[in-house]
Amino acid sequence: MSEILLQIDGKDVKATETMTVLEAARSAGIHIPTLCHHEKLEPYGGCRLCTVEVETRGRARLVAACLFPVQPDLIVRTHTPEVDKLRKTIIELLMAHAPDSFELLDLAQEYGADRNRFDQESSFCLLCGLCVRYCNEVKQKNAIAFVDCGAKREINFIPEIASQECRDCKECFPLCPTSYLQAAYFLTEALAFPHESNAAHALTKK
Amino acid sequence: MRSIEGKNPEPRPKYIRTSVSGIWDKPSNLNNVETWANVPLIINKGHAWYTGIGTEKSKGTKLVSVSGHVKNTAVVEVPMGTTLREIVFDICGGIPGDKKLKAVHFGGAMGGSIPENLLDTPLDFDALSSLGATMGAGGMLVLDEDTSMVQMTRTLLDFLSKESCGKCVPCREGVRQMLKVMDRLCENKGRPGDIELLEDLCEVSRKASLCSLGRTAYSPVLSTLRFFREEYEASIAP
Repeated sequence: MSEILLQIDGKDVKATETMTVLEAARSAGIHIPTLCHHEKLEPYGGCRLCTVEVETRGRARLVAACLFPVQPDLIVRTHTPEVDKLRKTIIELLMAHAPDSFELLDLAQEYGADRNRFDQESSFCLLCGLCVRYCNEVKQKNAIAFVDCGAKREINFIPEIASQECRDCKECFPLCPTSYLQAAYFLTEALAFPHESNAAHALTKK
Repeated sequence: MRSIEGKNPEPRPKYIRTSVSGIWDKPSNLNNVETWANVPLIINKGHAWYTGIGTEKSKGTKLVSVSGHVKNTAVVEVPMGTTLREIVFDICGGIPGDKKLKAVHFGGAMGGSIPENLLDTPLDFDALSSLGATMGAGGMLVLDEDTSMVQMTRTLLDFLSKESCGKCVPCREGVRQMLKVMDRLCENKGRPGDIELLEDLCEVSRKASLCSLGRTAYSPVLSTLRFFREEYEASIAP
């Protein structure tokens, strides 16, 4: 596999041709923030926090580092005033959903984001899709899925599959950047297969 | 293409052109029917005939779907370079009730509004984009003097929020928040700073979205802010 030489934040970085800019940066110890990225999963490009500026043949543009393939002589800038401002707004948009998420609080501090800039939304889900994609790509069970589109998009456990598969797995729980996923699971459990549900059991005991 | 592959209808997260790697990783061409319909004519009559029609940089003819406040709504085929005024008044008969024209919104939901004083703009890719509109699929919405540009923009954003697949944050959340601001403005309950907030949301949607829907969803907002800013300012509660 041929070696590719590129420049990230002024530093010469060696990469292999199948790498993305994000992978090349991380291999060189350069940090680019992400929310929807997971090394076991296919790149997704949903959160756009990893937006960076790349320059080829004198032309600069903004791309998602988790998807953009490395190429020879690419110049990457992971922090510019423009990039940092975009990240700040993206964090603020997400904090309308999960103002207390530790991951978001850390990012908010780094980028000076105001967690109250937008009115609070009722759902805590960031729709990063880590749970959905993990269940699909790694476990190949599809017990949780996206439903609906646009602003109505949400995650939902499929009760028929969840009741069979989830009890002994729950590997998606620690992936979730908010507490929404677990809440969605226990709600599904309580409503759809209550005989197995701790929550429902506790209620009926009273 | 993702749907044909049996996957979720979301944009492909690739910086590789579909003509290189598309459906099932094979080279794939996706073009509008209008584009294909031009091909046999060009083959039969030659490129010189085709490029003889239109402007210096926009060649041939264009199908324009004219709708809204206009006497004859129709799909019309005009040579590139025809002015918007000719389309509205000479071809489509002008505005019903002899009202005044306020603007035309060109390029569909992701297009831009062009005010009456610029109506002599020719149908030309560069001329339209310099005004913040796009050729798009040739959708032309005619708006009379009674139209609220803020209301019209809200309607377009509402449509776009339903068209968004919801995969990436700038488009899904950006359009959601823009729509909330537009809702406030439509009730004349805008807050100080709302216009600047819209401009910031336009920027993040334009620069950081995954696909061209998100990358152009800002367009009706920014173009109406450019030409009809006073209507936005009037919608801010005192």
